[in-house]
Amino acid sequence: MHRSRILPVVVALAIILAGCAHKNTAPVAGAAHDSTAVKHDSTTAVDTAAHPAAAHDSTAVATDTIPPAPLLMYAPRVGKVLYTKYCSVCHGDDGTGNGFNAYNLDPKPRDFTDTTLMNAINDQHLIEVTSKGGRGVNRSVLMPSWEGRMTPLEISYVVAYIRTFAKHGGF
Amino acid sequence: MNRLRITFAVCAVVFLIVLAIAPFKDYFSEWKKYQNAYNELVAKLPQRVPPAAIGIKQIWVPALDRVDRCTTCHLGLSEPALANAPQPFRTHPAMHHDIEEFGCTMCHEGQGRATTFKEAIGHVEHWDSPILPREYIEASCGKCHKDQNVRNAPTLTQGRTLIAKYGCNGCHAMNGVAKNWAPPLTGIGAKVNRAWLTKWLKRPKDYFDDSRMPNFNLSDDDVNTLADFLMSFTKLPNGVVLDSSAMTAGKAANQEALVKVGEVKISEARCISCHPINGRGGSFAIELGAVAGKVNRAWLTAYLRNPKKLEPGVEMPQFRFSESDIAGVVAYMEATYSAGSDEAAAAHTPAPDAYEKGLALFKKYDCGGCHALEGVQGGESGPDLTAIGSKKTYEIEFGVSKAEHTLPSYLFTKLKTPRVFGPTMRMPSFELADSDARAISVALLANTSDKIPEALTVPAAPPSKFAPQGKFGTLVDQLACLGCHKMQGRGRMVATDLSIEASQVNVDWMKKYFGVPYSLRPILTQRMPNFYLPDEERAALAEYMGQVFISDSITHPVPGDAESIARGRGLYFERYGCQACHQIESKGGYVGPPLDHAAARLQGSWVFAWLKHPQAYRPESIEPDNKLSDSDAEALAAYVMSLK
Repeated sequence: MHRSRILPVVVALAIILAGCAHKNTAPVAGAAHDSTAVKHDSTTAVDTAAHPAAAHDSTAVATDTIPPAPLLMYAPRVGKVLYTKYCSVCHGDDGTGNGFNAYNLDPKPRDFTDTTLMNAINDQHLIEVTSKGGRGVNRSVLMPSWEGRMTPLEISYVVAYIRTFAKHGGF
Repeated sequence: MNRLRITFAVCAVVFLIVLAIAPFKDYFSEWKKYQNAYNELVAKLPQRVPPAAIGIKQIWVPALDRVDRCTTCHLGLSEPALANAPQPFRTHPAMHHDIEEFGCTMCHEGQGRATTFKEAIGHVEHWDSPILPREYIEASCGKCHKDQNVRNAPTLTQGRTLIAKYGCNGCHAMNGVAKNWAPPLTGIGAKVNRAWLTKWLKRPKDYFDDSRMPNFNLSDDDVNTLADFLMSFTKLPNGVVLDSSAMTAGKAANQEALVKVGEVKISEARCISCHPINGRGGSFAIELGAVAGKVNRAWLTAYLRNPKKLEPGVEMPQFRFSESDIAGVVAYMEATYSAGSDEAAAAHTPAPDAYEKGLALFKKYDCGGCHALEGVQGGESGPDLTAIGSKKTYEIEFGVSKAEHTLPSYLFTKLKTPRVFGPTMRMPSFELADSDARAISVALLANTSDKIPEALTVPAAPPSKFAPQGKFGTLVDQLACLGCHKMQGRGRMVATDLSIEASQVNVDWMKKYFGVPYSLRPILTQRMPNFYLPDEERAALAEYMGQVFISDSITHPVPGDAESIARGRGLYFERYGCQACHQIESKGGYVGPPLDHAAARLQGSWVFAWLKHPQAYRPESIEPDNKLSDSDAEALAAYVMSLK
């Protein structure tokens, strides 16, 4: 008789305890995500948060833990595609202002790798020049207005990419 | 009885402790710490940012079946003052969708209902869609955006383009990807030399660096068996019989003259627009730099006469070469593109069971998934990938691989090293760069079984049914116009869209242009080839386009008075800076078409329409949309049309 009275109590207790002690044990392999996600600093444009790979065993034969190459953050990544399409013919793939069409232009296109110059210009100004063109800011009309082609969001992406050319650029 | 009392007492005490723990645990919950930290942070800011009310917050999106409590801790997502705040409080970067409308996990995955960081990230037991690493985030765009080109999702677009390029759907079932053409193998024994074939089967990239054919890692024995099997197919399609005398004929007496003819023809026909030659040139067709070591003279001659007869479905145009032109082109190729052609064709007797063994290999690696081979059907296809993005981690066999146990990592590793997960894997290696493998992974992750309401999906545009008939249709097919030009939604966008061509240019100019095509757009590396069309074919093309490729909406008259022209000239140089990209009298940029003699080519009403809305006519063009007034556009068009 004793047993049958104790049993429900013990079971109920076990259930309550199990509920309180519920913990997710053994996450598969994502533990390293915690640190990378928290510490990540988005002011650097290159996303270096690589896969947390298992410790590399030099005796392993296969090259099965491949760290993916660094990737630009989303905004400059999209900006790069737009820049390559619309801007690079004059400003150059490397942002130096030496695109293949630059030799036809006077004044020459801006050199985006010039840190001093780029530090003196804020994003708002870059957005305005890109949107309104040279004529919109009283500068050379050779710089076209792009607001008809790109949305304000896209122009902000282009500016985010332009900022990657100069070291320590941006406000 | 006493024992029972003691048990009861112990239970009661334990129960009390448990009850006491519950509110304690709630008081010290992780999210409360974050909310308090957030309120401390905003109190210190110079700008006034409202503090957060303590409590669990959530975004409920019934349409997408999402309940996301991420905003419980990520409190500053839409607060611009926190752009540089530490996580989890930082502003969300500007983006295309409203967080309130789409939630968080629709894009980021993870466990939306969780209220601790670890559980929200989702690398916990029984949660199948952990947070998507940032490198793969564009996969989420592809859940709803099903087009091949997704604006502002460059990685996804790249991945979908690569999937189409490499023809992944040759072996794998995949939604919405049209099958890419691969050369049919019928008659391959009469086309290529065996030494080339063995090298190609061993590693295609040794012959052509940008080869779409992957490396199957075949053993030398397998390569030989498969080569014997393939070389046994000597019957060409469409009953073509090669001129065997061409094979044995020695050098013609006028060999040097022939080579010179060939050189001119090859350069005028712009072979290099599509074919790379020793690594330089187009990317639509096979490398030509060593073609004489690959195919034989008789086959090449027949192919140049009529490519589609020998390789049904190939995009190669049927140039209007004369017989002597063809002999010249072949002679030039044999003289110049000759690497490997001097390798002695060693006498080779296939093993008696080569056919059966070769057929088994052909089926095992599903060669028929991409290549048609007359009389051979079926093969072992690869796994269905239509919903690969929803595959659960526990369903994946990672084998001995050290890859991180997540789906994105699995896909990336699989694409880089296809057979690393086990000895029975058959998938060939495409020798992809990291960025390509990641892009393809992104595109694959987008193929989920998620139920997206129709109102929120952006389906891929249905394929155009445009199929020109008659003489024009035959010419379009033979000249492979759609390989570069678009017509009514069909074709590749390399050169201009021809859908309304006759409203844009003069029909007479068109006829002349077919005779001596030149490059209108310096920015393009591909050039319009000279097809050597006879007059009547030029007329047939131009007249059909003159009747059909017209837009009735392009009629705006353009003034021709001196005052308008002068005003247009001023706008051209002083206000809109058109000279940055267009040349007039050899002055100006080299991006858009030169405008000398524009009036001979263009129609005034088109110049007006184009200047007004370039985006409406050619979304891919980089012509700026200056939002011109009618009078400015009229004046500019008047000036352009004054350039006789």
